[in-house]
Amino acid sequence: MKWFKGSSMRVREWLHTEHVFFMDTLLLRFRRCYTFTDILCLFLPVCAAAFWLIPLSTIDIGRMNALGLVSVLPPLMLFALLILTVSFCLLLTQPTLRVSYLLLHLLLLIGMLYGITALVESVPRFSVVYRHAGFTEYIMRTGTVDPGLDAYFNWPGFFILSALVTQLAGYYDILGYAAWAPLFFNLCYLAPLYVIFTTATEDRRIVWLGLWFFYSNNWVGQDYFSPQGLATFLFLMVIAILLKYFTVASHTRPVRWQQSPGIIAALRNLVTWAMWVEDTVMPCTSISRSQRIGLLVVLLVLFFFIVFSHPLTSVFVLAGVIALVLCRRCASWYLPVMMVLIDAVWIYAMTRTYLAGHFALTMHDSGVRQAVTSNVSSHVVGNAFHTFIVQMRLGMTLLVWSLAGIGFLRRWRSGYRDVTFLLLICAPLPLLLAQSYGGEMVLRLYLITLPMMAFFGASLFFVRPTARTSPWVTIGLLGISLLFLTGFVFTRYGNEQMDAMTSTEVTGVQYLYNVARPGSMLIAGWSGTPWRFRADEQYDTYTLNEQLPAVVAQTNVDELIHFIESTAISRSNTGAYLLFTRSQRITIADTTNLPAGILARLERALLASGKFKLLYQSSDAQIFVFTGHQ
Amino acid sequence: MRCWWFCPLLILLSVGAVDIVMLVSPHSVVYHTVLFWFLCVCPGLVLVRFLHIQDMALLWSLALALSLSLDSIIASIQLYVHLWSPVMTLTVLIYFCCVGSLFQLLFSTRLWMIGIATHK
Repeated sequence: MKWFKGSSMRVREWLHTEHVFFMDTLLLRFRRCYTFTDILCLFLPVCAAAFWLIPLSTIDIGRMNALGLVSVLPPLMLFALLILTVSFCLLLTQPTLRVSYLLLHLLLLIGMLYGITALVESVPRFSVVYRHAGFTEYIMRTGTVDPGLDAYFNWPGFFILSALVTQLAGYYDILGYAAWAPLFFNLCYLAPLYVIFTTATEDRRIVWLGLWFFYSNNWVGQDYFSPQGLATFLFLMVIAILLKYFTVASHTRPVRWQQSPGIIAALRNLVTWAMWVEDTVMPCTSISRSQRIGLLVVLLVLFFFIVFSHPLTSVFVLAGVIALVLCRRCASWYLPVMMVLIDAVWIYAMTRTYLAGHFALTMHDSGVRQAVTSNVSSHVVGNAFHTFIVQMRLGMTLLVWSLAGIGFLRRWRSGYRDVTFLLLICAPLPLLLAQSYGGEMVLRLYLITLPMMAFFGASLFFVRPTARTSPWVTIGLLGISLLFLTGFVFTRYGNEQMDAMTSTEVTGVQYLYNVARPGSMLIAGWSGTPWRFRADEQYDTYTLNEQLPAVVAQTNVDELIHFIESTAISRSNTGAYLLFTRSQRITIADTTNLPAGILARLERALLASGKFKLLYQSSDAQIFVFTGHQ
Repeated sequence: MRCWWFCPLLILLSVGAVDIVMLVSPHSVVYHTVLFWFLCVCPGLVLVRFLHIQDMALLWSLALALSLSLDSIIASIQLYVHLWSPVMTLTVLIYFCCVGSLFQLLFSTRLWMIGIATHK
């Protein structure tokens, strides 16, 4: 017994000593591995995620005002963005960078900024998504494309892919998953952006901050369920592969400047300078001959997919590749030649039907005046809130570009010659004069140049790779990051009242398709309608502001009746329906100077004429049927 | 990728998973997830492995980009020759992945055996 007691005491002592020793070792190891800041930077994003998720269910999109999504966002969600930014900036200024932590922060930011609408809105945003649903539905139903039906069918790659995925998944249409496209595409952009940035610097802080700036400023909204959303990812992939494997070290040579005055001489001097100035891209990753051939084939496959998915992105790729080859940043001179051939063959063989009827229209939309009018002036109209959002977008664009300019100059003064990135920024700029692209060219240019701009913006804070960061830099970094995020909430989601669709109006449009027989005439009161997503080719669709603007502006019902009767006779229509939705009313209020309630006035006039009958009514949609010929 | 067998095995497992889930519960969330994974990653991963890319970020993003391109190109060929059939496209992609992965496995195993023999 005595022996047992003694033994048990010894065991207890041993256990105690071992336990204490074990705990001490563990604690010491933990302290060595993780500082207080590390733990804080893990705790803060977890809190941010919780603060962002908890009030999500309380958001009521119906209460949104003309300022957009920010008007219904609970303060706790904005606080979540704030603490995530603080945590990221804190992490970035640490002597040792924790890549997994930075990635966690970035993934959370992408989720918070680009996944929010899919969670709070019941149906996909943007009326154009419903047209894309219509193209996909056509392919699913007929197993063909009709280039004469719509321009999109001349570049159908994306829609064929979406038809394949939708049909294999067993969905009826894309509307069940299209709302998640922005989140998916932005996650796709992450890896190629990382590769692009690492080709220009070894300083990983610039790389991660550049990524953060990219996502805080990607407000243009081209990442919805669209061909350009996917094509942007492929564009980034092509650039990433080119910069990683195909760049060549430039050799400095004394430049012979053209002394004669004039723009041509200045341009020639600029190109000569770009050709011979020494670049500071990271050494290109060496690859074998077979790898090189394989990567070239991959580049051409990706480019081919871009060409038959989206016409504009292929031009951006070509501009970038030609600039790199001309200015001796890429040795593969045959690459742009093959790319031009692919593009030319596609345009000649597959898009003739469309271009034959629209060539004059395509060429008409060019010139300096047209570029300024379509891209800037035409957008600054509408009510005060809409104008404020447009001005904010212009302001944020100027801010990003200015910061990028200063960042570039600062790097230049420190001996970094980022000519490759500069070429990628400048190469697509002439396209602005060549085509206004329906007033969207500036937006597309902004998106295409944003990676390089974000990189230069990030370079402003970390010029030289040093272990310690001054407090002023940290404060400046935090200030700019918060400014970008604040701007983002307004610039991206400022028009959300117009961009968001409600399930009530989509149900109304579905009802219209259920009652309207094929061959009917469908007329929308204004643009911005979530329609044309079902058997679109079987109906004659019109929009009053495009075909008959006077009908809305002057409440001219007689003109409408005349139009319906004459068109119905010539096209043998089986019925005529008028559709009015909430999104149309918001679009009129936001983008025109027409008086409020003008559509309601037209609806009353339609009923008063005795030639229209109210067929369907809900809070967000009204359908009238034409009874005049009965 | 350090483990030469990892990617081919992953692709073969994904192919098996698509087949099984398609038979067992074709309208479940699991089926959608597995199908999405297969279409987005596997066909491209088969090709990317032959390029011996060391950069993980580039490898996986290229696998994604190539997968989407291949899916679309194969489906487009079928569409333009008036043989539109998503199930047939999936079958072609499954065969493509199986052949590519088996080739990689056999080729890598042979290299591995040669390596062991040389070492001995």
